[in-house]
Amino acid sequence: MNETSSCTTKISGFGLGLRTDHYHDFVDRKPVVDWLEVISENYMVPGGKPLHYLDSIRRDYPIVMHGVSLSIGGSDPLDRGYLRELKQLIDRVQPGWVSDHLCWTGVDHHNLHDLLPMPYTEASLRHLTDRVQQVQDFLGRRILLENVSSYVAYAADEMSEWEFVSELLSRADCHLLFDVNNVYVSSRNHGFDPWVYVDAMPARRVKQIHLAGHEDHGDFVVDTHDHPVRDEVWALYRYTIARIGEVPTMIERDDDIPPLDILLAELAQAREAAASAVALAA
Amino acid sequence: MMSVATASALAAGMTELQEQQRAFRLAVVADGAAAGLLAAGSSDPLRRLQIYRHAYRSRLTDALAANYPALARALGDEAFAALAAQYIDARPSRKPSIRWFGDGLDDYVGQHDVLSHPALRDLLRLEWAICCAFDAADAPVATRDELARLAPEAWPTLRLELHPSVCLLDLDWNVEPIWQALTRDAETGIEQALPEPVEHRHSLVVWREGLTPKWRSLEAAEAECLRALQRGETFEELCRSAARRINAERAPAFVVGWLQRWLADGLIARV
Ligand SMILES: [Fe+2]
Repeated sequence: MNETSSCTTKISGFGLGLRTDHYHDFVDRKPVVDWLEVISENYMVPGGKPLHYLDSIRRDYPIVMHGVSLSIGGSDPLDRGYLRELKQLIDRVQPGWVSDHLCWTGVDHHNLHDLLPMPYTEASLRHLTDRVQQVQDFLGRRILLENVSSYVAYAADEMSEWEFVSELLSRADCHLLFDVNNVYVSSRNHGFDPWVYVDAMPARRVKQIHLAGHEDHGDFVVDTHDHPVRDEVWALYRYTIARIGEVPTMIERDDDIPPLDILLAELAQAREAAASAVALAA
Repeated sequence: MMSVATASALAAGMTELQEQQRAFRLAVVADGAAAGLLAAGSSDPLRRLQIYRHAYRSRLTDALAANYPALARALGDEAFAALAAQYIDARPSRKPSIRWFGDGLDDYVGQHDVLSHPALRDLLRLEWAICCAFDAADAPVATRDELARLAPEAWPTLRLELHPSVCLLDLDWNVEPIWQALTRDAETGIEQALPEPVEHRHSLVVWREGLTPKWRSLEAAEAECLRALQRGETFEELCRSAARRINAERAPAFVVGWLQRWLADGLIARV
């Protein structure tokens, strides 16, 4: 597709998710972070504090936008009002790119505010392809979709998740926000090999990586974003970078949010992991 | 153009997907059986559904508590969770953003006898107004100097406008001391005995000063005047209606006094 809107904001290196707890750190201290990711919906409000801090922080940091409510896989019609608001925010922020999740969030106009898994079927693929194209046409830019973690699988599934994801990326001509932790979480919950998943990802479509912590319950794993990144996920991350090369990477922390310095130290770990993976692959 | 065959395949797939999503929704929000929906897989899918069920309720309960922190404190965890559970089932979220979850709570508690004390309804109305003032639209505020520069003949027909964050509430209970005590508790982490609610019909104005929501209780005459301004009445009309409540000669002085306060507080949008 043609990118009609200007994508002048260059994103590279290592970022963090912007959380309200750290507003003052970013405004006052301007710590070294290559870019920040904001949750779009947090700023789809009329005015006040959220937009004040967003504008202020945007002056010092490149930003990418990450949504949770697009419901690209939903069977209700696309929410045009939501898309218009999203576009307004895009105009304001001039983000490096815009992402949401490869999931559905509600049905019959009941929003469950959760990232619910798709059935991995041909019918889902056709439905998603059509909707991704509608959204990309409306926004005038390619979007990134993120693989979500899941706890159940559908009886109707016709293919593996990695086959489904890579097929969608090529049919819909969109990009991937590859969440390495989500791959790990789902691999444990469904008993598949996460390395096979990584191998199936089309390298040129992976534009961003998420790292996060999870909660291990033994026979299942929950994607909680309230812990540091675990060793198994670091290993999978190094493997991903060795295979597809360096991709802008960030750490997501949504609960039990520690002081910013702790996240900066964890981000330094990501830099080292990526550098060692690149060196190993060379 | 899409071919007829492609379009009908898309429609058939869509119906199938819609049925799957409806069954999934019921399984999550109403503990539906979801027979045949989920793969048997390596573990018990019904146990796994619990993760979604739990996440659904806890996420919405947290969102409600974030919008009504004083109410949550006043009720305590257990009673607040019970109220949230009823509200979640009665008023499913229809907005894309979870930020608005709880926008119908005032209406809901008005229709169902679910609060242990009627003053709690006024408390939650105050909280929702604060919540809306927090991220209401930005607009420049009028200053005293700007108004002072107006020609005297412009005053009678002057129509002032309220800042978009301004919200006027009519309350039946004196909930302000209760809100203050609960908010102080949240800041200090020390729980203190709450003041006894006192029945007292009055008005209150909520607005945002800079980035911070504020509120102030109003006497009846000032509230009436602010409402008249909100309705778009001219300055002359404001004085006239104030004169019906207060001494006719002193009414303009009162209105000017209130206006000075409103300007200082940032209640009036730039003319
Ligand atoms: Fe993620």
